[in-house]
Amino acid sequence: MNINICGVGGQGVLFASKTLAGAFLLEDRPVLCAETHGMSQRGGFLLTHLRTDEDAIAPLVPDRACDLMVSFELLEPMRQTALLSNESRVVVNDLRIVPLPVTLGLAEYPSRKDILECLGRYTKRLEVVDLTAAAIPLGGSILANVVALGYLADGIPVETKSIKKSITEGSPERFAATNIVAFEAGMEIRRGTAKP
Amino acid sequence: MSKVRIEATEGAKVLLMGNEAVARGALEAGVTVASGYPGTPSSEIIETLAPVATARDIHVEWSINEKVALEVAAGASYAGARALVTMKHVGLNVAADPFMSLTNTGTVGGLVVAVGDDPGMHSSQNEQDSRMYVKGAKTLTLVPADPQEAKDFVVAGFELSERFEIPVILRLTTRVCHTRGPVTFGPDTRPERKGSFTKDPGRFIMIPANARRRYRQLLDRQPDIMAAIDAFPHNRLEGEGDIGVIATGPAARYAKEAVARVGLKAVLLTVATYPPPLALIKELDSRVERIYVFEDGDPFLEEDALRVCTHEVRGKVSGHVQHDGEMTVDRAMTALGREQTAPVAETVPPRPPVLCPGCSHRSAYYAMKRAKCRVVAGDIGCYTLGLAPPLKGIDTCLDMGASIGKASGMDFAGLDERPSAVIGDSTFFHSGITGLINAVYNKARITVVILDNRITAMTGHQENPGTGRLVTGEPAPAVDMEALVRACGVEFVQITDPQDISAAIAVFKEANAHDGVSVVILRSPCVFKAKRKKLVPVVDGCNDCQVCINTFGCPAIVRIEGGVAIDEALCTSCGVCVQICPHGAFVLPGGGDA
Repeated sequence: MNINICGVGGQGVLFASKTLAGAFLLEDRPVLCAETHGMSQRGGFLLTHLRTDEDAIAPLVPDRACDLMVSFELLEPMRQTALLSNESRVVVNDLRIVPLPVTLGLAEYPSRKDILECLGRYTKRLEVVDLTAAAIPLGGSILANVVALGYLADGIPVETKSIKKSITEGSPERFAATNIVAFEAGMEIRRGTAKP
Repeated sequence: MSKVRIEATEGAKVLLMGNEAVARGALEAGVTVASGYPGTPSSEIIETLAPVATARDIHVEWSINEKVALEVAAGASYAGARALVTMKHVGLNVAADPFMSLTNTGTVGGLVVAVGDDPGMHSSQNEQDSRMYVKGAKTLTLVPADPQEAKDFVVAGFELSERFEIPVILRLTTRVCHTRGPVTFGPDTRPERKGSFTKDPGRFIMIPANARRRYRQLLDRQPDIMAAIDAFPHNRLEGEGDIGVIATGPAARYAKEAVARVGLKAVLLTVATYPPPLALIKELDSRVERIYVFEDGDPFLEEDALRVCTHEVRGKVSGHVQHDGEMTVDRAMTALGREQTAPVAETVPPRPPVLCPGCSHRSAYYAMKRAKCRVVAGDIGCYTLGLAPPLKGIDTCLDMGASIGKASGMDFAGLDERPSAVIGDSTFFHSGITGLINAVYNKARITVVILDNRITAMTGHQENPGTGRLVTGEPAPAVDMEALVRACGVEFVQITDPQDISAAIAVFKEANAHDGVSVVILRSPCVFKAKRKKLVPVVDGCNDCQVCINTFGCPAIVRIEGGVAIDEALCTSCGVCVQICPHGAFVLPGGGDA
């Protein structure tokens, strides 16, 4: 499976990617996870590539080969449409983070309708979920990344218990329990929206 | 500090980033000295080693710059220790002087230079290919494609270094450094840190007479080095077909996947070294009709293939592969002849990295503009981000430590305006101080602004000689910046807090009026380190003039209907917006003092 996670620096894109990669390793499955560090972490956009197939030996997902894209911000998947095909499942957090050039009036942030229309041209499998709204009462918007993992768990070919173990192992001790609660909240949202 | 299981036992399979795998490789190879200067994508190697350094009695350091890092490693090697040096690709330029002569003296203990190249320039000012130094220095490079190879090649690199008495470069790229994958551990070794130096003036003292003899000996060793390259087990041929593919590093993985996706039958030569295995290239040439070469960076492999192959070679030289930017599966597929329509890029507002909310660099640029610092030579660090609107705080950015030299040159060129230079604390120690001494000595008339936030921030908050701590967290002497600047002969030195805007403007005005070099040290901790009580201003009486947005541009100030608001989650309570609003519309609750 080819998974791409995108968002804005500070949203926990790297933690989510690392945690998912760790879950695959716990089951001794092949996994590669390419990240970007450095400048992009200062409020810039982030994109990670997670590859879990035997024959996926290269770090980057090829164009149109993404099976699952999750974005912690509404606009960001539009930057990564080259990765998408009709078969890609795209899960988007219903959260706008306005880039500074937009605040300065140098660029325009598209309307929610335009963003969803645009993404709809690339994939038939678009889901918009308010992960941040679910995260805030649990301890803060930063937990949206772990809520996302819970939401996605049933669609990722790895045991849920492996993801949970990876979360616990990768979290600082004082956040581990909260992260598991956030993960389960994400699973709950998925159960509520998933078609029977 | 990352919590990584690099001390797991032999046989353990651990998910590691390439950089963490290099650190593990160093433990397996029995490194006792590791030095480096932070630089994306290489920084995590030293950061991963540091937490285990004390318990294992390994010396791990952030050096002042890459040149000194390599010289430290050279000394350790002369004293018999295995030494690892880390830096980003442009850091090797700084270390090039010792590097090019180190192959002449040769090494004693193994010495591996782990260099992070950055194809695609994710966090760099150029795309140089570290293999260019190998040709000149007559040494060799190992080029891993994933974290497992990154670890294994460190161990192999030390063996080759000791066998041929040369420093070996481990050429990493962003997609190895920052890709996580499973790494199976080998046995680690815990040698005693007990150096011994055997005097050998003819070898270690590079005066011309000795250098001429040593260089001849280095050249005489080349055939043996080439034979070892041909025999290096990770240089390997696989597959059958009429088409040949030569590729190195992650590009070899992209090439393999591209061949499968296009559905070609091809012989793949994976090259894990530079110079490449010419015997294997010739064998490939004898088995195929046409050859493709895929590599990140410059066409070094391709030039060697062109030299020895009889069949057509397609790559960057021939124009079949784009020279700049990162290699990808899609680029390889296009070169291999798969017809495909390029994906259309949607119009999306840019999301550049920006100075953090509450960052003192924003205040510095704001105050400099008001003090009429009109031409500003920039440098490398977080403060480079001050180039963006609305601050537009710098006019140039070239290389580490360059700002002071550039400002001096502008003055010497007869500029009407007095030039300024901005430079961070770590960059000043790295290579700015030489520029300052030069400016004073040659009587430049410039204002030098040292942004002293007491951390190496951009690369992830590393300690430096000004912070008072070592990489291990141990307390260390901190450089007295003011005394250092005065000792360079600077007569005008003032220290001020950039978050006090009117005070900073007054200091800049005074500094600009000084005839000669003036130095303003702006002292304010990085927001990541600043301990401030949460005190978010309230907006009261905003008349929507937008001066705050259009002149200051703090990400925590957002537009709303009829004015602005403060994003409480982003605000770091610096209180500067209170000072800059012409209408006093930002008010601290309870009349608090920011």
